[in-house]
Amino acid sequence: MTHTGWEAVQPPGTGPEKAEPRRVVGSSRAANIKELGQPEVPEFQSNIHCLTIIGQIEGHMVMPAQNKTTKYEHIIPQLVAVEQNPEIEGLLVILNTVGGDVEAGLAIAEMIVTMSKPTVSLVLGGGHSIGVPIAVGAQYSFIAETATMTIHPIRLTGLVIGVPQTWEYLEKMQDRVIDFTAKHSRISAERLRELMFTTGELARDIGTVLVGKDAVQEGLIDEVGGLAQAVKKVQELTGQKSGGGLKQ
Amino acid sequence: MILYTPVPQELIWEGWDKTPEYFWARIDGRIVQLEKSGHATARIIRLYSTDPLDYLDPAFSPGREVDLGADLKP
Repeated sequence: MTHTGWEAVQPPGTGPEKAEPRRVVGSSRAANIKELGQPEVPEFQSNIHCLTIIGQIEGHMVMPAQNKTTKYEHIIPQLVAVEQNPEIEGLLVILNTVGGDVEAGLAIAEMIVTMSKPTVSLVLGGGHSIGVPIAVGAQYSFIAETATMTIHPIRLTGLVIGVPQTWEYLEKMQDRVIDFTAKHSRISAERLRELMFTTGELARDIGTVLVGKDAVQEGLIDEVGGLAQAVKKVQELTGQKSGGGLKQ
Repeated sequence: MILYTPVPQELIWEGWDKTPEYFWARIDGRIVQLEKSGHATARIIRLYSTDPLDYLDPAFSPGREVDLGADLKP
């Protein structure tokens, strides 16, 4: 898209801001004629919102450009909008993530868990590390047959002070993830800890890789499935919620 | 900050010391942070808004390339 009406501004919070009238979000008829060459606006609008969580989950630090990231400061208000927007009836979270910032990941997971609208997650490819609480945060979770979830301990890098308190701090961070995951799935905290400290599964590391069916057997994920099942489940849950049948 | 990921940290932080060229702009009334990506194009880094519905607009999602016309100063 080309923007002709843009202007450079000072960073927010550093100068006087002037309020400006803004257009309402949504596709305009004129844009549709220009871009698709058709005067008819496609009438179908989905009643579910699809949130994709891909790459690294970026939190407090901006990651260098070679990382593909999901920025939590963009996801959080999106979830607020999904919760508030009366036209959106359900949320489908699609994950293909290698994990990332613990705080940001847990924040997203907590937001999804506390939504009043039906939520379904689908793990495609990978839902590793901090992707696990996000996946189980949804009311119902699916995993693709070939998708994997890596359960491994949190580690510290950079300056580590060699005192017992460092270990306790790490243990506390670990507990936050384990407790959340155990609370929102069928797996127990003990079993999760066991999987986390397994040796021989990961090359030169400790932890476990759960492939599709294994994740379901361990009780982490509800069902092995794909796109059709996930969308159907959202429709089913939204139908239950509004008291009617399936909505198309 | 703790990163919980199986990806080696040295891979993630490679090139962290190179500061990218960020600038702020107002596009269609919304304040966005941009990174210069070409002669007249920039990539959206973040959207700065208090209206949650703005975040559902794909035109303002992070990573999106925007053509700012020829008037972008190098």
